[in-house]
Amino acid sequence: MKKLVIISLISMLGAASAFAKPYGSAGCGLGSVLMGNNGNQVLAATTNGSTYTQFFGISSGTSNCTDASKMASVRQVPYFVEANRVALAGDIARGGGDTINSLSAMMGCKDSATLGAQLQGSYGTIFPNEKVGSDSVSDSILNVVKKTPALSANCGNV
Amino acid sequence: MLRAPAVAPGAAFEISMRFFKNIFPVLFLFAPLICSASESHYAKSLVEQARLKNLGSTRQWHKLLHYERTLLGYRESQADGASFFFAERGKSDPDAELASTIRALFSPVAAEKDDEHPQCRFPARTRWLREVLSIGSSKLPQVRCEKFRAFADKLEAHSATVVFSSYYLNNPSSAFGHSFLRLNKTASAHSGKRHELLDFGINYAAVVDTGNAVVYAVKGISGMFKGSFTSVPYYYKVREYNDYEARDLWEYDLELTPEQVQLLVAHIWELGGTEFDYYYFTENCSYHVLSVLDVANPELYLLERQARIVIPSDTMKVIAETPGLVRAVHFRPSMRRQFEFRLSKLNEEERGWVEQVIRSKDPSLPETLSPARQALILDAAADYIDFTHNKELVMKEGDAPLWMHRILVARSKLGTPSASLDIPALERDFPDRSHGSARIALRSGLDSERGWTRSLNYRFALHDLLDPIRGYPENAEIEMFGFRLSGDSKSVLRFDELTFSRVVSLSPIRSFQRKPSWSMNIGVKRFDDFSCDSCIGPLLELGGGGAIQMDFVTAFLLGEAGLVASSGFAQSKFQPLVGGRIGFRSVFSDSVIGLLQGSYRHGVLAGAPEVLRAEFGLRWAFSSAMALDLSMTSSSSAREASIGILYYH
Repeated sequence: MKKLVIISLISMLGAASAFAKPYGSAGCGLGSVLMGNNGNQVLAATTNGSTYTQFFGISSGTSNCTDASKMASVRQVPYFVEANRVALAGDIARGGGDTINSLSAMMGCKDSATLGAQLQGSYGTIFPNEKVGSDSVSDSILNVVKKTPALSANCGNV
Repeated sequence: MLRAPAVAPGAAFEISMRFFKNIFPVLFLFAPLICSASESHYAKSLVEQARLKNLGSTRQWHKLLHYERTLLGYRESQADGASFFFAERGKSDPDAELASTIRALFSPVAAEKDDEHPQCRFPARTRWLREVLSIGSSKLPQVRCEKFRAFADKLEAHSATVVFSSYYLNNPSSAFGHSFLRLNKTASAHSGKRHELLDFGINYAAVVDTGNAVVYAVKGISGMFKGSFTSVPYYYKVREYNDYEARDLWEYDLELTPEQVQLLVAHIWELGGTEFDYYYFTENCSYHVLSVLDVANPELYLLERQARIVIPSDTMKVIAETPGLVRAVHFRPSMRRQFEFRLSKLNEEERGWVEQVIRSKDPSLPETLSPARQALILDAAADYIDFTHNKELVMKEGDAPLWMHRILVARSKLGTPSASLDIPALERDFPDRSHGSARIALRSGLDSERGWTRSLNYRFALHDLLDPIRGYPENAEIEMFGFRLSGDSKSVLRFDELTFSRVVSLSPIRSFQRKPSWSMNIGVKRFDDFSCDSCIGPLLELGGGGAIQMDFVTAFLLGEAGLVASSGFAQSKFQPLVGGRIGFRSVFSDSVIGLLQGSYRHGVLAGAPEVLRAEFGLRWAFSSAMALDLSMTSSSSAREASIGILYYH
């Protein structure tokens, strides 16, 4: 019993860190990136070499607004949600679309149609109002996947 | 050691290799003794091999270092960062740079900072040199290059695509379109799964440090901005172009071998660490798409086939016309096009409901409509709000986020998934099917004042309302740097007009599109209507108004105001003018277009003329590069008719 408690505590901690606000994802929204308000770099205004100490390699046009892991990884979800917010809301309401397919790839889902349908059904939970922050949106999406048996079995990365 | 006076370099190399092969077993016995010195000996021998093989003159080396002929005829690397070169004269001396690069590959490895080692900063050069000089992997100092490996792993590049985003007249840097590379995680970009959003775009752009329009123009044209390569997830590009700017995206999937793709990734890493002078008309975004592809496969000869003035659509033609290079073309329609497509699937009553939802900001629809039809209506309304209130939605300000939320909640409750759109790409819209960006026209005519006339018209870019419409925006004219000379019995050739920039943007008003039409003209011109015989001076005109579409005819009405100046004017050197023009442009087919225009100009100051002019033009593009046209003009001062032959290149 004790073992079970410890294991579940540890897994909850693990889960919590997956839900923790990732560094740098705020300011990676499309608005910040287009308007240059994210304090970092903007799509057209990356200074390469003059302010950076690095003099090798290509810099990111969006100031590393992606997680260091591969793109098809659940850690990218918060960044993706931040950048694709408007399109994602539209696709979830419609039950499918490119952004759903991308989420499906990031969460390792075998079938994006089921994901689309489930998220559509939970639209009100994911987007309770128009002001909800992107972190909350990505947390809600991951929650829906975890809590839906059909999806949690289907989506390997979550 | 070896005499090789009258022997060709290749043969000399053969002889020396045979010598080494014979000696090698003996040297091997002495290996432990000469180990510490063997590295520098080896490096020296490689430098010598490279010299004998004349590797510094090979095409691949020149492409890797971006050596190109300047306007003045000498060869120099276009890269401008000092750290891109190992040799002091590296920017202008390919052989010296090659020798220094070889030596640099053998430089000692700092244990912690090995990402700065030449092998890690220049993986493409390293790869190529190892191949052509047969350098075994154990011969080079061992490096980890973790940053490069992380970059390459993240990209997971298996294939490449060139993406063209279509014309955007609201912004001069996008008026001619834009192109960039996308590196795909799958061997073929559309293998049934649409995951391109997670692929990476590689974009070359200027680093803009000014908000002043004039400074921006001057710096952009004269190469005073630095340009650099950046990587950005493709979804940012789709959001920026498709959604925010309502521009179509054309994706040309390329045929490159896995080795070529790896070389491309390695080279992009090399370029990321340097900068290039950005020239709006020559070394711009589209130029470097070609320069980088030429490195991946030097047999493409892309830059050689591209004219000095680089217009993005021309670069798409160079790519599309390269045998076997383009695997497939995919079309990603803008938000506006998606909306119009959705609208076309609705009947008139349903379209009325779309308008109702948009106007009332209330998504409730009658029960008489089935959930499937309600879904189509709400989908269309949501798209409309998306592209008409793009800034508000993205910045989360104003009322649009709330309206959108209400519509989407209602849509989600309907349950059914929306069918994917599958909007067909029309042949006439493909950017590589467009006519050549430059045009020369020779005309012969009869003028009531001048008698027989001949004229020569040359335009660097791009497209006017009579030019064949394939590949260009349907109702727009954009011209830069054109001039017209004419001659008659009295003068062999005289100056008539120089256009710096002329734009006409017609937006036919229809339900769901109420944008104004506008025009702009900046240039230098000969004024025949004023009472001076040949006054030449600058002119600036701006116009605004509206247009409507009646089947294949676009009718437009623009009010225009302008300022012309000439030392030859009688009353005042500066003459403000007001007036307007009315026009009817008929697109009989992709290549037969007519334009009838009437214009009125009234000089505001006393003594300045009132001019009424009617113009008619009819152009037939009988081949992909040539056209015939007929034009007739009638004004208070003269009447003229001419026929011409035009060549687009």
